[in-house]
Amino acid sequence: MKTKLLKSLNQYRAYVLVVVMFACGVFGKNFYTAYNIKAILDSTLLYAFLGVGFTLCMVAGHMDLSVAAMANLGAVLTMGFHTFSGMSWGPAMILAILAATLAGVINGVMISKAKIHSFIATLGMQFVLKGVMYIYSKGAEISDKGDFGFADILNKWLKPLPITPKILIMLVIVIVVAVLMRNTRFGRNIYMIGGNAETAWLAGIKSSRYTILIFAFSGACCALGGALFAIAQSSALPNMGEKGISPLLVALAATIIGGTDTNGGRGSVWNTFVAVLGLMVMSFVLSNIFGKFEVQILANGLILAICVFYETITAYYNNKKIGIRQPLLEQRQKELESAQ
Amino acid sequence: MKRIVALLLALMMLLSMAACGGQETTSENGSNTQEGGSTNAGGETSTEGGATEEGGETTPAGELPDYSTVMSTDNQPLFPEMVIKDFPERPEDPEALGEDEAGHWYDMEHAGWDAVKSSNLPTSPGDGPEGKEIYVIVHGDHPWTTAYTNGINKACETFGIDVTVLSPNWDVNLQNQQIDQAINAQPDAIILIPVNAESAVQQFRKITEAGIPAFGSNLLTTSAAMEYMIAWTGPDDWGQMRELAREMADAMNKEGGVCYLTHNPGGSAYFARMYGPRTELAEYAPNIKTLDFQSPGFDAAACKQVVSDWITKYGDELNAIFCADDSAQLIGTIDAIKEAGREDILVYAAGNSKTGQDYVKAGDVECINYQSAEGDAAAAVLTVAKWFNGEEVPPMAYMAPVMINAENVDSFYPCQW
Amino acid sequence: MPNSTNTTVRKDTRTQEMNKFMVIVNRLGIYVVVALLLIAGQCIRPDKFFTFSNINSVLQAVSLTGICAVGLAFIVYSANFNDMSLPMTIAFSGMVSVQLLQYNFVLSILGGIAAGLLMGAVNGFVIGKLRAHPIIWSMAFNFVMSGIVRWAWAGNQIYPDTITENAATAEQFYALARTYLGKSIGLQIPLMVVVMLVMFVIGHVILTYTSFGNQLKIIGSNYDVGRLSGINCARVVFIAYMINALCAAICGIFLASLSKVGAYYNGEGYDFECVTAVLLGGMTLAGGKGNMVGVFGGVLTVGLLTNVMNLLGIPTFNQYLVQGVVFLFIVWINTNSARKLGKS
Repeated sequence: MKTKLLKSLNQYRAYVLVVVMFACGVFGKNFYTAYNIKAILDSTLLYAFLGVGFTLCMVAGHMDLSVAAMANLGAVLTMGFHTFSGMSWGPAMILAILAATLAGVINGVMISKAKIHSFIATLGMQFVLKGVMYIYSKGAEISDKGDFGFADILNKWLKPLPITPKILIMLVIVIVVAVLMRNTRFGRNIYMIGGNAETAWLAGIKSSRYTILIFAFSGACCALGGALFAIAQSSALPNMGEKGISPLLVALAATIIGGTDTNGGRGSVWNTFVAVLGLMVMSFVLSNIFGKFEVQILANGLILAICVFYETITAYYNNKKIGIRQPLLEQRQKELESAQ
Repeated sequence: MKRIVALLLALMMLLSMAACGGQETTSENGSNTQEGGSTNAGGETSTEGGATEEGGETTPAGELPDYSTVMSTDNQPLFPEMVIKDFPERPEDPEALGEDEAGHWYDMEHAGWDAVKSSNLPTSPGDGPEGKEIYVIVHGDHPWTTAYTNGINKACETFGIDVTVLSPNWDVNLQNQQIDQAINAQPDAIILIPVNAESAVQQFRKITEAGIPAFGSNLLTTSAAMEYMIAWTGPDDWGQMRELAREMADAMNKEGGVCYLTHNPGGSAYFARMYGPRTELAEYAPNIKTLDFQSPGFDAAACKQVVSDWITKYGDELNAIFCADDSAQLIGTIDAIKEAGREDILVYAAGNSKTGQDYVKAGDVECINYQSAEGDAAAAVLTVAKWFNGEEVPPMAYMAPVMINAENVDSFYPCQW
Repeated sequence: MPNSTNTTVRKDTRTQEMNKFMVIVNRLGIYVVVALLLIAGQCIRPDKFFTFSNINSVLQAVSLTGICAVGLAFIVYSANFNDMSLPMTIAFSGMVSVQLLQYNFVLSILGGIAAGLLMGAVNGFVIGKLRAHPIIWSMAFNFVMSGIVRWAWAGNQIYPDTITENAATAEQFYALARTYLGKSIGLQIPLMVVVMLVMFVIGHVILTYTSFGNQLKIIGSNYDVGRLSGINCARVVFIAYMINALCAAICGIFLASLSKVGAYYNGEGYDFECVTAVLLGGMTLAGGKGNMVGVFGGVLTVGLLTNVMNLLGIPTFNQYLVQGVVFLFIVWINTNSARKLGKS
């Protein structure tokens, strides 16, 4: 019974995080206001997009370290095309997303065709993108030169709902990807590749094509997130997030807390989004109560570490049980209980 | 069972950590009470009438407590001397000028020249700073910020202001969150050091649109952001660098070659601390050549390699090195110079850390600039206090530049950070 | 009769079928690149490149990365990808050793190393014994330690000369990274470089000539084979993490001494920089391949590449791009050659 409870607790740990942290808001000042809730949702924008990209890759058994660089690429190029080349927002965003998709395709080709480990390929891609962005922007921040029209639309508070249009776009994307992953052949195949590459091959799935697609999709998704973030912020910076908790770390933490298997084959985009939300609620609560950054980074780390540790311990005990016959196991457990 | 216990333990650990963190904040606030003593001498001669009918027992409104006797950690007056700069004439098209001409950087250096204050800026309550509540949002964790926070606490104590300091660790997204949080708390004013100059626009807009007076501090933002804040105070980064460059040019007899170690690319310090001296030298001492500039970051070993490579590459052509930071970059530079036996190379650095001051004292570095972190904070609080009092505050005020060299270095000890 | 003809026909021809070029790439590996960079450097600055001071400065610039790379090589070799907690191990051991300067110099060095080993022990236990995912766990642990270190020192950095009342102790600590050996024979070799070289030699001996090294190779190549052949895998991986932590701690103390400050941001970037050097040196993330000689070549490549680009006067922005492309290219060649030879 207890294990069952714990299991379901673990399964819904992203939701638990949201609920617990939201409840902790009692200790803060003015926590439960519509403005605050809107602000919490607003802050999930970038991380949710990165989380979607990262989760997709991790479900397929890969790691995409270049998500943060992709988002920055999307941001810098969108802003640059708009300000330097005078394009309107639509074409600028589409071109930037295409560029990031291309980078994602290169990632995928390196991983699936040249058989470079995804960790290395995306690590190298990160450096390359950084160089490209610095050269393009000459190292400077790019602004939209006071053209706040689109930013105001994105940031508009749709009262009485605690939602802004940019969050609506994000939610739509997250839901679409979640449905895609859950209910289509494309999505199920990704799980299969991550779960057992050999079975996937035997089942006739062209895993290299899927790998390229996944990385391209991840790049596009991150670039869209970066572009929206940059427009809403009216500026883009090539080294955003290099200091402090990098967006990559938040995306990774959310992916793990959301229950994605570190070896691939299990995980859900929606859960990742819930975990991002949980982390953001926590961030608000902690800075409301303490106002100190040290506590935040510690809490973020501890939650991630506890999740990883719990999964490891579970896997460790499950591993020990392999090969033990069920009756013997039950007998042993009874012995242990009576001994206690 | 074991797992439940493990989970509970972890949760308890989290809670206890959190509790300790909370205790620490309170103890820190308690320990900061050694400064203070608002001796009511009425040093400030306020011409503004203000709203004098209301006021506390110690300080009548319209007159700020005497703050000129409050000292910072390094035994300088906490509230620095402020200067208001005039904007020179703007060139027709700054972009058309070369990078070595001062005009090219006009919009950056003289940000705010075309700022038209937004029409919906809040108006002063005019009832004095006593008992007001403000939020200060800094840009990130750094020893400099710790000193700045000290300054904020000291200054706020002088004026009897309640203050909450938030730090987002150099993360724009986190800073946005904290701004939202500050707005949510509806304080009487918000002082903000934005993480980036350009993204500050939306941040200041948000604060102003929420009806809360916003004040900028330290980081020079763009003109667009200036429109949404009541006043800005901070160091004159460009001016200081120009002065430092002139000192360097004099020491070099206005000829030779200079290399620059830059700040992190993208930030305003990157431009101010490289193009500031470069453009100044182009005018003041055109015979001084810029040999190279590199951005190895703030890693002493990497800086050392870059400087060693310069010494190898340029040999006697290299006469001076200008560092954008006076801790790790300076250490790497000095070590490389000493190793190569090239003590004749002059070194100038921006910043005001203990490391830099020690080097000035030891004679390894010719000159650094004084940039009081506590003073920076105090200037911002003073502006807010004056505004609460209904006084006219200048839209932009710079801290007067001061140079630290071998002659006056002893008066700046103990260092702030 | 047919038997005898069969034996003559069935000759082992596999070595002949190997791609000659790939054999060279695989054997010489990174040293081809090192040689190319040396030639390039000589062409750019014929008068100054091969001077003692230039080579010395290159070696010195990579010495900290090199010290860490020795330890990290054991992790990569054991197929545990990368230790993402390197930055905090470096920062934590540096800060502890600066803090302990208030007692005395020897205690501070020992304390710094102990602090590093403590972190290594946690990593070794969770990854070696419990088999957590190495990247995810070490990232999480890095996160936690970063919080603890900031919290413990309230976000401040600590200076040796304000910690200790004895100025001589602080000077001794500063001198660590500024000691030069071999003055009697007219050379000035920094202590850091000597330590790096010694550690590479020791690391090479441990990795190649000891039973521990061989066990590590088996575990790295195939964990289950290692386990089934009776190797105490948990212990071996644990020791690998301890070696890694020891190297990181030594690096951390040197870094604190070099930058004259103990700070939480001291080791930033070392995680990726070191793994770059290790991977350039021909080790693969699959584990059990490569050797310490190659890793040394990888470390040299990182240093020489920066040196040559600085001498050429390439701006920092373009340097990022060149580094990324070179890294990907060399790793691709490595992977490709290993595959052509059927080793992967």
